[in-house]
Amino acid sequence: MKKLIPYIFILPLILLILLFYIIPAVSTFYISLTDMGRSLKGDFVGLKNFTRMFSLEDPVIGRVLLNTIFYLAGALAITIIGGLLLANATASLGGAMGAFFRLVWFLPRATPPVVWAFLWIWAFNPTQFGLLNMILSRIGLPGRGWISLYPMLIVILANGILGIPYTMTILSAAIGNIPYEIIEASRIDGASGWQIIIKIKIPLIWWPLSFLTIWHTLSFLTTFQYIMMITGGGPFYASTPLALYTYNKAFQNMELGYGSALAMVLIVLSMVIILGFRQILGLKREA
Amino acid sequence: MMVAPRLKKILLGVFLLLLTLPLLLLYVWLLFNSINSGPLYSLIPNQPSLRSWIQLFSRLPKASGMPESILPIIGNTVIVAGGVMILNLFVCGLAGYAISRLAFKGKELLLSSLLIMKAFPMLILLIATYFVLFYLRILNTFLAVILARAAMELVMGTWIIKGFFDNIPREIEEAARIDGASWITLWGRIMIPLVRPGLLAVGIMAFIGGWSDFIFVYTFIFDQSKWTLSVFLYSLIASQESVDYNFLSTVSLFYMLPMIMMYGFIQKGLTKGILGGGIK
Repeated sequence: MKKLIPYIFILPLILLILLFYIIPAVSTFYISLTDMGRSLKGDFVGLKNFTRMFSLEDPVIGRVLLNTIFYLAGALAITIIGGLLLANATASLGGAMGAFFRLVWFLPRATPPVVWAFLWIWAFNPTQFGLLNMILSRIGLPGRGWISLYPMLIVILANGILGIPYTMTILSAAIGNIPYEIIEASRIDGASGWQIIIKIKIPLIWWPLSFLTIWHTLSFLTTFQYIMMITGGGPFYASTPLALYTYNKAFQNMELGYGSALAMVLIVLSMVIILGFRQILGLKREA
Repeated sequence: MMVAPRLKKILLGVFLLLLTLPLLLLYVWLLFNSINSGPLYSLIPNQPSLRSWIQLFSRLPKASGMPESILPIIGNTVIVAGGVMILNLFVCGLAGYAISRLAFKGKELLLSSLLIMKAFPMLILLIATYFVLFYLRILNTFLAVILARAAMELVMGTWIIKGFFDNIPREIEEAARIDGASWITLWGRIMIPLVRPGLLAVGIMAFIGGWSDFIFVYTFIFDQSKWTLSVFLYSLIASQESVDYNFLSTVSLFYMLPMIMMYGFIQKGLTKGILGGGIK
């Protein structure tokens, strides 16, 4: 009886892990080998879904993969560089002003996803109601349909900026933990502000920086809800990365089999990233 | 060449202000639109009015296919958020204790799978999750959303609670055990109250997760009577009829406020929890 007690404690956790991680992961693989559709029943078709994808039989898949790379690179750059820049600048500014800027930059994280998407849709609205067009008209410039003109850029900005609060908060704490003497000593030795950032601060915060990069790579690779709401992936797949394509194939076209094959690619990619960087993601194991 | 430190600070402040202004503008505009009657064409409310705030709590603006009252929608959102919170507190409180204190076979395996799951983006499994919920016959119920969202939040939660249990001296537990306390008493009466700050953080994070959830509600719920604030707002935005921006801003702000308050409440602890042990 006594031996059973620990298992009673972890039973609810195990049940939820089984239901929402293990079984879905196995089912994704199974469904990807079928032609499952709306009825949620499908016949076994072997690797047909995968050959459809890899032989570029699907005419948009090349476009989608290219989008994924651009989107990932762009959003990552904004999140990491933006967070690093803000953490540094607010720390140097210090005091109430620094705290104020950090507070404003924390807001996106405290904004529900739908509201965040709405802010972007509205800011770039093609009519005179859009914030950008309204400002342009005030200074005598014509408004434009921003979202259909630059869908990818807007999607990258919206997602990249959303990552900044997390990056900034963690990097601020990490920079705050750097002993003051180190910075002061290098300053006395004549290092400039930029030299201090690049040669001293960045190496000292290398661990959180790589953790954040991997974390956001996984997050950008797999979240699609903001893109879905802001551009809908369009016009004509112009802003559809793999994760959104997967969702739309499955739940709009109801091609669950093919959607699962696409999801398998994302699962394998994620696992490679996670296992490759396990040491870093493990928060050094003991934490 | 040295720039005067004071001038440097001013330049830095101006730079930050320029960088922050667009973001700040978005939120200020949201606020001003919610307290104006008619859409704004400038940055200052021209017809200040609480019209849309009153609409929000009395009768929603008429639009085809939209609910008439906000109250059931708020209720649904609270059910989902509260459900995720209670479930997570229960699951993480139990598992966090076992992982921190008890010895059992398979613990190493559980620990390493939790580490992987912490990074594993559960959203990729959405299609198969839909499939699982279909076979459990709980699609289109709150339970489906609550379970899925709790599963998404609980890896981090278990980890945080485990950390709190790790910090409690073992003597407390041993003393209670010598006094003859049963396992359940030991856990519920003695250990759980000691990790209250951890439970508070995990509970609030779970509540925020449920409160802000969009994709699970959007995918697993089909009836309008079960809409939460996120899907309601999304339907308003996506509806083809002429959009009332004052009202949209008001719903957005109302939806956002509880989240801001809760984040404000736990932000400090959150940073520490994420960093704890990692950077030293």
